[in-house]
Amino acid sequence: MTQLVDKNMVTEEFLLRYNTSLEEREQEPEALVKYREEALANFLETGFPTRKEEEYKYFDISKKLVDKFDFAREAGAKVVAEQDFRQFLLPDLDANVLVFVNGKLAIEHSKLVSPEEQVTIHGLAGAVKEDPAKIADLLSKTTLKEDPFYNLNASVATDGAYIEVHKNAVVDKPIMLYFFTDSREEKAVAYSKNIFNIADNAQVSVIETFHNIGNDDSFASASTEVFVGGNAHVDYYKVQADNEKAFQVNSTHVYQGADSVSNVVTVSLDGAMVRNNLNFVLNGTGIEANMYGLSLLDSQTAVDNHTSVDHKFPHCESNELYKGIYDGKSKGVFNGKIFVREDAQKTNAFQANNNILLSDDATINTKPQLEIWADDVKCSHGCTNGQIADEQLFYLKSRGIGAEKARAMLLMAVAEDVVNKINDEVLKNHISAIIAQRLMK
Amino acid sequence: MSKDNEILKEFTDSEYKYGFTTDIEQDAAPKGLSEDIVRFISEKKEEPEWLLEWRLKAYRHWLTLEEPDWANIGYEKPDFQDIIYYSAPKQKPELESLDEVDPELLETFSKLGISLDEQKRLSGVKVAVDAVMDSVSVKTTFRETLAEKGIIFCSFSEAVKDHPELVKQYMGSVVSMTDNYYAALNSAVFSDGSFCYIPKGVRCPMELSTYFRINASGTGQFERTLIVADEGSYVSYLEGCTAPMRDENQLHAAVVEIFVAKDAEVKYSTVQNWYPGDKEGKGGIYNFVTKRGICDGDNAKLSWTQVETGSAVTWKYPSCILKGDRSIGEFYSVAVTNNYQQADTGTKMIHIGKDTKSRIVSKGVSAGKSQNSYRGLVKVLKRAENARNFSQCDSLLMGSKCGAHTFPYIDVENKSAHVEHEATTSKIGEDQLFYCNQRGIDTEKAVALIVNGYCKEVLNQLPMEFAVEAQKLLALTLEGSVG
Repeated sequence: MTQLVDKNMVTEEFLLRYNTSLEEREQEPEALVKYREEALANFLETGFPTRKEEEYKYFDISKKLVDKFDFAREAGAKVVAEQDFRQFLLPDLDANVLVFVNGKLAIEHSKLVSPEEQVTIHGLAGAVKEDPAKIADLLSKTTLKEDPFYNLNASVATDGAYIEVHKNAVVDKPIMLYFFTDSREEKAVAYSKNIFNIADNAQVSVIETFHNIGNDDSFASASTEVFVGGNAHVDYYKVQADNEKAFQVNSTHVYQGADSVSNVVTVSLDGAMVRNNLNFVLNGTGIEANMYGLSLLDSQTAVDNHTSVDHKFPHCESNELYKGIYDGKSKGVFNGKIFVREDAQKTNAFQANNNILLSDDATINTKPQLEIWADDVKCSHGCTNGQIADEQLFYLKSRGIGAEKARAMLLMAVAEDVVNKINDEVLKNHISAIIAQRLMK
Repeated sequence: MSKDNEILKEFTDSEYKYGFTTDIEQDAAPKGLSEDIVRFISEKKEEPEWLLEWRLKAYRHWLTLEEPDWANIGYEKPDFQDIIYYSAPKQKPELESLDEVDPELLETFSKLGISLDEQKRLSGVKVAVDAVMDSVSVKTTFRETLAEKGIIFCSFSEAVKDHPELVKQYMGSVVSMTDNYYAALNSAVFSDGSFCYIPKGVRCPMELSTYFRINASGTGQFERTLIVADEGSYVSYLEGCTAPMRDENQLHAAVVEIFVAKDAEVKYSTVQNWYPGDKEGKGGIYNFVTKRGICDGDNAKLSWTQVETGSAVTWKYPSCILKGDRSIGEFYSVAVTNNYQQADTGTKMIHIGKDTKSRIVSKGVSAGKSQNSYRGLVKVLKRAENARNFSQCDSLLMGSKCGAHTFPYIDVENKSAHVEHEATTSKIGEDQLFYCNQRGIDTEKAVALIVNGYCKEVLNQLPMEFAVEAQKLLALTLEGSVG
């Protein structure tokens, strides 16, 4: 039994390994050291979250992870050949591609097609080397630092994607981020820290997906800071279809400027346990923040979606639609928070969470949450848990459609509501096809 | 807009009507809490040994607990050593008729609008009242009429003396002494309360009613209500409460337990009007109450209706455990907060039996600088086939300094469950006011009309006798804006 230095499963060994891993790291710029040290201090204060904490009440991820992985350091960079991951690539997608293996940019597999005057794409480690002051400045603008996994990520991660979209640029090709964990030889722990810096009036769309190459356990910790400039537009798609040994904690913080629009779509299809923290801070007026999610789960997969929107200024709008279809022994958790601060008059905030349980062994815990301090607002949330209506099935059957197919059609219709929010045709068709195949099974 | 402000100003200026004190000599325990105090209370009440043991066990458990702070409320934690845990009007009510009751006390109750005298005189009035002042039951009316039917309705201490077997069987069966911080505290120091037993197959011919009043200063009120509805019985039970205006915060930590057997139905209505503190948020009652009922048998039904207008801080979640198959739980609530009041209230519906149904309708109105939260849990356990729940919680904001919050938890483990939840937050629409104005209804009356309509769904659930009072109370709380 290792000695606990602090509460909640952080051991002395962790600190020891953490400190040795620091020595192996390259010299960091002063400002970044400060950011990392602050994050480590925050993390040590809380330790890994347990079920006693409200935010992790229904999701006992720490317990499952702590004995499995060495969190204190990143797994070494691995060399993978293209045939190792070819099966995971999105076919027919004409995009800028960045490939990360165990959190490190694999430059040999990456390619950029968009011109330099629209967008600068780097690995974060590279960007830090080039202009440490800029990265430090961006990181100093972050305000959400409560989540223990976010802090753990911030204290360990060294690489990730850095995307800088220039003023007034419309990036016509999407940016595709592949994150691979290589667990073929040993358990893999991968940290990635991504920064999207989108200037005023710019437009971009980013797709990310995570895959575990190999059959051992893997843990992917990703943290993305998205800075959306005034009147800018960002589409951000997250596809989570990893194998049953893959754990993932994904934190995304979106800081939006006035009149900007952001759409974040999270599609969770597979994996061992996935935790998504998606937070929006609306720093201006006239902002639109949209978040959509679909969980289509089977077997033992557990997916926890925690979202929050912080309305601080008047005349903003947020829309949220999360849907879940749960089969087997899967588990779904949804928590959507909407804060409307005193000054955020004329806010429109809508939230809906609809779930279908297909099996008695599946569970769903949902908690939509409105906290409102302004009076001239329109806010609502709706939440349902149910199953396919017998009348609907009967309607289709009476028209000569078999029970199995009718059921699949109805479930497909549930999923389509979210899939249709994807603006990228190639991605939309790809996901539609996967869902159809799953449901027709 | 200036008219609106005027209305809001008047609204915030309305004073607490029940803020009088009554000069009655008090027989009180010394301040503070210890095993000795627990023994003192038990001795004062001439309780049997088993009850003392029970109290002490609860007290020892309470010592191991920490005060909960998860609720969305902020307040100065009460100093538990600065509270008088037992306070009784000195003239001990071993009373045969109302004539023997201290006239001051009767005056108090008539000020509250429940004249015991009147109740006695008008045999037509079908409300039996058990009045509890500073935690001691002072008078129960209509006892004989009820006894004819076999209904037991008396103070808790009398029940302990006269029906120990019933009390022993049911006390702590729904809210165990270890349930939570305040339930444990209550179990240790509870001083009195009401006890009600409806035998098999009996339909209680009248509404049963309890009035609670905190009178002495520096006291806490810890009453305990136990309602047992045996097979196939029916009872409608009402509870009301008030307190005088005082600068310090007083603590009220009650426990209400309801046991509903097979085919029985209990309707529990409460109008809570504890002193909410003054305009600066000074004083007022801390209302930390544990209310829970169990639908133990098949086809049992339990319905909670509450109108919450008082208390500086409210922390209250009347819950239903739906254990019997086809049992039904209902929760109707209006919570109005003004000035610096804080309310964190809601319900829990635990579906255990098959084909169980629950319905939640919660209406919050926040004004002034108050914070109003709904916190609810709907839990469908694995074997609860075909469970059905519908929840609706609406919030109305009056003024830009108040807050309305919703924390609904929904946990489902059975695929056949139908659970729906919806919530909205809004203010009174300009267009709604305009529509009324256009038809010659002035803004003030229009606001009244709209708020009344907004709460109607809940107010309609109250028994006749209470509905009138509740409407008046609502009007009083919203005085100026609704009057």
